[in-house]
Amino acid sequence: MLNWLKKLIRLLTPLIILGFIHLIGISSIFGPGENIVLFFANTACLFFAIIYKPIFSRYRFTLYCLGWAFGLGTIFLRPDSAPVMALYLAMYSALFRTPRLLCHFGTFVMSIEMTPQYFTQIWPLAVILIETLYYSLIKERDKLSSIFFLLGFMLIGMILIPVLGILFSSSPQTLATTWQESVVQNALATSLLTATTATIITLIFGIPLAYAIAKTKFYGREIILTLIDLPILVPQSVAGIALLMVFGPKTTIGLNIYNYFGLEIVNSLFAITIAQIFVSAPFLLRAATATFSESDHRLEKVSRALGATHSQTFWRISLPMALPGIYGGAVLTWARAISEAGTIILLANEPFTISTLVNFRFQQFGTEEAAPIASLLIIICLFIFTILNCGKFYLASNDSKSR
Amino acid sequence: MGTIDAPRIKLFELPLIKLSGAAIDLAPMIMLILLFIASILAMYYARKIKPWRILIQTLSLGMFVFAAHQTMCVLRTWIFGFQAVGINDTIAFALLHIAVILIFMALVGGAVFCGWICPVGTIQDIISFFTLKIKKQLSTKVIMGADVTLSILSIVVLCWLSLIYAPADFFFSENVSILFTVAGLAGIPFIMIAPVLEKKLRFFRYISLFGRTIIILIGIHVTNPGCTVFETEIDYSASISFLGVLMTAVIINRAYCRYICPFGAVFGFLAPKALFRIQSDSLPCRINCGKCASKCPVGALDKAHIEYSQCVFCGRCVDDCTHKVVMSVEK
Repeated sequence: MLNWLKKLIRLLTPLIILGFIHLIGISSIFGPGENIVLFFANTACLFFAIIYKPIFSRYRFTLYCLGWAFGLGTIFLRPDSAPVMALYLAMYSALFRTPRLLCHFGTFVMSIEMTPQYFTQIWPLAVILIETLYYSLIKERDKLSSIFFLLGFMLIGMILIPVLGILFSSSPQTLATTWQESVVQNALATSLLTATTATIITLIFGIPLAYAIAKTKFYGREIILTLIDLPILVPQSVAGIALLMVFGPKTTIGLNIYNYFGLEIVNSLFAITIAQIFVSAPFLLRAATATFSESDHRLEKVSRALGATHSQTFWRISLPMALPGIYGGAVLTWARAISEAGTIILLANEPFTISTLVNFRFQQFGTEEAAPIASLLIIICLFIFTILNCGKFYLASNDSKSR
Repeated sequence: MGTIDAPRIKLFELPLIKLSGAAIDLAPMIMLILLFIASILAMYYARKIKPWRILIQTLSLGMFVFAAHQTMCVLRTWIFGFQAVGINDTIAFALLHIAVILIFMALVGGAVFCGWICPVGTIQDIISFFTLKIKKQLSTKVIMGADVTLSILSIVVLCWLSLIYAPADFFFSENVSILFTVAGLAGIPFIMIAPVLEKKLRFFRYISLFGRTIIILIGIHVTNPGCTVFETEIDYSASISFLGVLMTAVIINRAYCRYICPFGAVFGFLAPKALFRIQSDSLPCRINCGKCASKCPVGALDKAHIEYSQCVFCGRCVDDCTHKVVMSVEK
């Protein structure tokens, strides 16, 4: 019992002395509120001093005490900012165990004490947070990959921040009212319909082309492979004008189609689909060509040797093997087709797709009116794109199972 | 819009202990520190932790809900304190002090705040105390069905309420709390179907913290369910997401703490570096009775191995097992 009491007294003595100092000594300088805050900060420092004393070397412990004294000194030099200083002191005492965190804290305090601007104050915090995230997420790391990650994060930020900004720029009510507009619904239906049609047409014509290019070797193969990428290379406005000069109402092809079929291509769903096919086909072609040429040739040879015809081999062996790649390409094609605006504007002004509607609203009323439709588009497309990508994983897992 | 007048439940509507020349209340801070000291002492010295924990939780619930002038509301504006440093240090202190003290507490005792002091956690504890009693009498199939239904229902209810009550102008600034809560809740039905995903959803806490930080850096106020729920003027977003917290507490014990809470993520970062921690006497455990894991409210235990980023220091495992609170200090 007596031993227990002795322990308690030994524990409480420094605290009582500290309280006494605060009650008698400092109360003339600071008000009662500041005094309480300072008392808690000093208690924290004292508590950690008691803990650090046995485990630290004498040098390190002296360093800790010097830091404490320095903090107290600055508090007395700047009595106006005593409460904030007390907070610094408490954090200092707790962080002294882990030098890395203490360095972070020091940098951060310097940045907010030295610079008045909000952004210069806030970026060290952001950097520290990102670093913490990085250290906790990526366990196997070296210097080079860390630097590469740093550079990559900047790009990700550049991509992500505008998209997130537009995604969250309008309220759910605005989104709901926008959703109920018949113009928007029609535009969305047009977009989905034309993009899906464009993807299907690209699939019908693209897979044979990709297979043919991948499986045969001929002079000029490289040229065709380069030409496939041409729509990616050409600016959207140029592509739009080029298509207009082919399918426009006063050109040969456009006139003939109008004369024989009674179809006016410009300002119709056909025009939108044509524009989307033009810009989005390369994605499917590239993916399909790559998967067809990378897939295992021996299986096809075996199938041929066992008596299957060329077409049987294609349907039973080559196509199923290349299906995950083609699927990925098709998803990309679909996404590109949905997002196309520039070419469509030149070719078809009238049935709005959602992308041209955004452009139209922006031209007419400014960003306020265009933003809700844009965020609606992003939400819907992200949703569909995620589901389609999940389908890719499903295909891949099926593929590995069947093997 | 955005705020709803609530019945006045606060005992004190003026600051109790003032900083000189400012209307800043030091009472929440002092309460926090005293409760923290009490809980650490109870963890370290008490023979049976449970009664002490219940006492301190009741005290903190009473203090923060009925007595404290400002509740967790102080937390949401902490980042704006940095702007005031050097310009007006009193305001800076007012905005910063609770956050700094929470981080300090995390460095000393890990997530003691979550298990012993946080009012949201206490309310979830109370709910799960009753639901566990009811669940014991039901068959597993009934529980499963009810849980899946409730988890989907909670998402629907949150979306519906937010559509009704949301103010029209600022989507992001007013809805952060609901957005993150709904996003977290959306994962819970999947957990019910495939328990393997549980570990993955826990990662959502960090996304919640990181997302909020980005939003803060853009310069927008953020809210969370604990925010102004207990205030005289109720923030609609915080209250609606708090309803979500209550509904999920029925499904999974402390679901909000496990999957969504951004402060939990901060504690998760800092708790492995904390001064005090709960440690098993013998690792690996040779008995493997699983008693501790069944008692853990946040599922941080796996065969006597404690995941410190998840642990809320409630001490249930210590009461029921040979685990002891061991002070461990890094050199």
